Parts: sequence; C-alpha cells; structure tokens
Amino acid sequence: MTKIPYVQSLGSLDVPPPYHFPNVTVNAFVWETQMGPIQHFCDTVLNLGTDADRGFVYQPAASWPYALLLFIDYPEMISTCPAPKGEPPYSDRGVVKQTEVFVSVPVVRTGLTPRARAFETAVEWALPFIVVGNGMSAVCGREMIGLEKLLADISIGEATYPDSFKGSVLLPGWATLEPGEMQKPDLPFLDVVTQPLLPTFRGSPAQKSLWTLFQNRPIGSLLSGLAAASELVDAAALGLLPIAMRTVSLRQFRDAAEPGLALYQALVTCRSKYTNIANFQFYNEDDVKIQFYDTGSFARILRVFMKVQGGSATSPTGLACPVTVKAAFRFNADIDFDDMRTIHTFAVERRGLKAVPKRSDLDSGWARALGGFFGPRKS
Amino acid sequence: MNKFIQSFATQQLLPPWKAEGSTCWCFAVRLTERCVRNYLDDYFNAPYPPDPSPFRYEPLPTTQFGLIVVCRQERISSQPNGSDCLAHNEVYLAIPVHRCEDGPPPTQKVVWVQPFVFGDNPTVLFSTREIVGLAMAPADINCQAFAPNQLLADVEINGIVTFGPSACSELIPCMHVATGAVSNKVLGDFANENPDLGAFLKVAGESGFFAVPAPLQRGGAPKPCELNTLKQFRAVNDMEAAVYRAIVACRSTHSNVDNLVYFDPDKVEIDFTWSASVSEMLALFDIKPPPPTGYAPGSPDRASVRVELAYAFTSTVDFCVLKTLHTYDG
Repeated sequence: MTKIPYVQSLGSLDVPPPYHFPNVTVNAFVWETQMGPIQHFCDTVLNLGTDADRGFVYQPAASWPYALLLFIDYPEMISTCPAPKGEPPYSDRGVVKQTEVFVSVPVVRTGLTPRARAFETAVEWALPFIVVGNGMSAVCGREMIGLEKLLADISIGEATYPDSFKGSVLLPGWATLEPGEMQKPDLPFLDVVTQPLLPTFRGSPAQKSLWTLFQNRPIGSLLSGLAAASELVDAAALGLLPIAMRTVSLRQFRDAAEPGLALYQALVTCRSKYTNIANFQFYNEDDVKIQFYDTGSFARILRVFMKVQGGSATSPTGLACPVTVKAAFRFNADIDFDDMRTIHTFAVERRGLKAVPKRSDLDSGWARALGGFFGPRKS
Repeated sequence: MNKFIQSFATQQLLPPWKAEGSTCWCFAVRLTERCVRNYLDDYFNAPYPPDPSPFRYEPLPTTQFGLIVVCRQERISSQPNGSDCLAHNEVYLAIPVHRCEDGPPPTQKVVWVQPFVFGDNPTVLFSTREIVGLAMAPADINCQAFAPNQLLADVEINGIVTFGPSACSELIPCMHVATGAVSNKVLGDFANENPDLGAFLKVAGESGFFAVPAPLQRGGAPKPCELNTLKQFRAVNDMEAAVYRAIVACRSTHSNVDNLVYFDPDKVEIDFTWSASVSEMLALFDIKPPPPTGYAPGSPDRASVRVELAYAFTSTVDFCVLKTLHTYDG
C-alpha cells in the first residue's frame, strides 16, 4: 500500500507526538471506582462489533478497582517527532507549556483464543475524561491519537495554606439542558482542595492516612522494593501509580455528509512513561475534597466513570458529587509519551470506496520483546 | 459505514447548522497569482499518483483577490432540531478559485477555499476540523466594537514568535482589524474606480455570498456559496502519512441579509503581527519575516495589507456539507 502524504504546513500549530515532558508536577488522587460504569464504557467504546469478529474483550481491572485523577502541570512540551524533509526539527522550534487533567481507569484486554489469551492479554488505561488548557494540544490529542481531549479553563495552585493544593476545571457546556439554551463558556465541572502535604499540624490527624503506613520502616522498605521491581516490569509503582501507563483510546472520524456515521474506527495505544520521579509526598486523603458537578450537559460525562446517586445522563441532579479519596500525593517526574500503535482497526464498509479492512496488532509488550528475540531473522 | 460512537467529548456542532444573527465584515485584499497557486498546489493539487484526484484547482484568470472576513455568530445551532445553541467568532481568509475537472465534458466551477481560519469556540473548532476538514486554529478573538457599521477586533493565538530550541509558546498578537469611517459609495462606485476589483467581483459574484452586495442591489437573494476543504488525519505509526485524506464540498447560504454598510477602504486598518507560527499564513500576502530594523518605526513586527473594498452585513447563515468529492484511497 502506498503512503498517502499528510499535507503538513510549516506554520501549522500541529505538533505531532512522540513528546518529552521534563520536570512535570503531578498531583494525583485515587478513589475506589464501581465496575458497572467502567464495564459499560468498555462495552460501548472499546468492545465494538462482535466478540468473534474482534477476537478480544475489554473489562475493568477487578484487581485494581480504582480511578486515578491527575492534575499535571507541564512547564515544557518538546516534540521528538522527526520533521518533514527539509523542515526544522520540531524539537528545535520551541516548547509548549500546558496543563492537563484526566481521569484514568485500568482495563484488561483479554484475547478470546488460547493463543490470544497468552500473548495478547494486556492491562491498559482508558481515559474517559481528559481536558487540557492548550487548544492545539486538544486538537493534536483528538486528531492524531484519538484521545478525546476537551479544551478547558484549568487552574492549579495552592489552597489556603502553603504546600496545599487547589485545582479546578471550567468547561464549556449547557447548564440546564432546556431547549434553545445557549452554551456557557465556563461552567464549573471539578474542584479539588487539599490541606498541606504531610507531615503537617493542619487538618485531620494523620494516624489513619496511607502516609503513616509509609513511615513504618519495614513496610516502607517493602513498598520501595516493590516500586523498584515494578518499574522493571512496567507495572504499578507502590500500587498507586503506573510508572508506564499504556493508554487505550478509540480513534474515529465522522463522515462529513453523514456525521452520525464513522468512516474509520481503530483502537490506539500510547505509552506514557514516568522517569526521574522525585519529591514524592502525600496529602492526608481524609482532608482531600473532590467535587464533580452533576449539572446540565456534564451529567453525560460523569456517568461514564462514576456512579452518580439519582438523576440520569439526560436529567442531572444539579448537585455536587463528592468522591471519597483513598490516596492523594504529589511528585515531580519526566514523562515520555511515545510508542503510539494502532492495535486494532475495525472493518468499515464505505460506499463507492475500498472497505477499511479489519487489522490487528495486539501482541502485548512482553510478547513483542520475545518475538523480536526469537522471531524470524532480519536481514 | 459504522455507527459513530458518541460521547460528551464528541458533542460537536454537527452540520447542517444555522447561524441566526450573524454579522460579517468583509475586506477584499489583493493577492498574487503565485501565492494562490502555491497554496492550491500544496493543499488541493498535492500529487498522489496511485489515486489522483479528478480535480485540479486553479487561480481565477482575473487579478487575484481574497476576502478577509470577521464573522460574529450570535446563535448557531445544529439542524433540524436547533440543538446545541452556541455563540462563536471566527476570522478567515477566503479565496475564490476554479475547480477544474477534465471530464468528459470538462467542467470549471468557481468555489471558495479558506487557507486559514481562526475560531474561539472549542465546540465549533472540533466540528470544523474533524467533520468539515477546515484546519481552524484556536484563537482569542477580542471584539471591542462589533456593530455592523463599526468593528475593532484583535486576534491572538498561542504560538511562538521565533523558532528556537528554547523558545516557548505564549499568547501572541496575530491580527488587528479596525473599520474606520463608513462610506457613502456603493458597490458600483468601487468597481468602476478599480477595474481589477470590478473584474474580480464579476467572477466572484456568480459564486455566492462573498459578493453579496451585487445581488442585493439587484434586489435578489445571494446565491449559495460552495466551499471546498481538505480533510485529513495522520497515521499513528507515521505522522507524515495520512490514514485518511479527502476533498469535501460544503455550502453556505445567506438569507435575511440586512444592514449593508460600506467602509472607506483607505481608512480600514488590517495589520498582521509576524511570528514564526503564522509565517506561512502571512506568506499568502507576500509578507516576509521582519527585517532586522523592523517594518516601520515603532512597530517592528507589524505589516499592513491594503484593503480595496470593505463592507459589512447581517444575515442568517445555513451551512451544510454537500458531499465528499474525492477520497484518496490508499
């Protein structure tokens, strides 16, 4: 198949991945999630078509039933993508700064044949909600890798006390869902407030905090050892944060004349790898207040990743929805966003054109490495 | 085709849409044939030998003009339900060109292309880029005065002034528009005084709203205007390749046209601020990077374009996608 050139403009504000993000600040919050909404998300967004045709199934990761909310401040974003011939490398053009907020949940992809179960089963992270403060970051994420980024007004800073955290997300939306209502540019969607980092004399006693567990020398050593080991196998650090998070997203394009139809649908994975992690510090999770707002058009997004008491996607409660936090922490790290792969293209029939054939490239990371070592000799 | 999986994030302004209470300020500026041809060759005539497009886009045989349009849309909604009402501002350059098809029989039609578009509503931005295929760039469009008889607008983008490894993106000024005095002249006066403009209007007038004063003066409704776009998405494993590339035809129709105002073109200010991020866009106007001494004393990075016709009007706009004209099949 011949490559169709993408018409790239030198002056275009598009900056394709992979990206390197040095010295980011991450504020992370973990809460227990319910399987129902995540299973529904898997079934409607990832498990398209029939099981037999697809050959795999996505399910919530029952062994880690938590959702992760990250507020990330990127002081620099450097594209390491090679430039089109004759143009200056992206990395020599400059850097972009931005803020990002997302909710991620682990999902397990399981192959449906014995061979697929052995080689294609993988843990990936679905991002049912992601917003950024930079418009072109939203554009690139949506168009290039299928991450459904929205453009939001994100504020990140300190709450009342030094070393505390306060973050908020304002989004364009419709406040009441009344017919004819005009969109508001900045409705409150999410607020997060913490007390100062531990140890602190402010806020609730920390005896029951997860932080206290880490102060215990034997437990701390054990967890540190696990963290070091986990980094080697790309699993979770301290059981709280994936050192290498492989995201999965549905990348789809609407038909121009019939926008209810998709002319392309594929699952795309990317690796988000955290290195040089430093200044890892805890907040007292008992003092973390997270509130999502179940108002107007936001009712639809909230119910994708959490169970909201009352109301529905078309009839919101109009109330703030708090979540009970299990862990809250802050750290600095370098993040590399790379290794983008289309792992499964869904077949699409197109009128008057060649059909898009089903294609799969599902081997999990470790199976790829084995394949490279033991596979056919390359000339 | 498959069913598109809807989510909150894909709650876009779906075409067809209607914009009520729309105000357009239009400014005709002279372009060079070379710049228009280069743009068409890069974007619409880019070769792909295994599946060549049956269309060839050519500059009009007249003197080249483009229209810089500032459009304020008070209320847009998807049709037929009138859902997802929102407000939106956009600024773009529109150029009439010939779309030629070898046939048989050979055909030639005047269509419009938009080399750049800035928009300030993300719901419209995502729709325009992902459905229609126009590479709209996000921008802050600040209108300090926006009556039909007066416009004072500034466009700012998140960009980089001069490329360099340590340069950082920031909110930078990009464009400034001010209308100045209203003129008592009508279209015929401008066309008679400026034969190049007259020839352009004659050709462009056959193609839709951008020559709206002409049909208005005849008492008729403006013709629909066809816009062609290049809709493309990159391949994940090779960002220089497209996993989808197609030419899309859209149509906008203006009705309820009112409040037609002409401005004295000599009093209109359209200034661009040069930056590396918009250098290609400014090359369309033959604006080159600033010399070391700057363009003019006191405004080192600014360049003005001369406006030869300026007018504004209010209308209701109906926009729809006609069809995908050609999909490059890999």
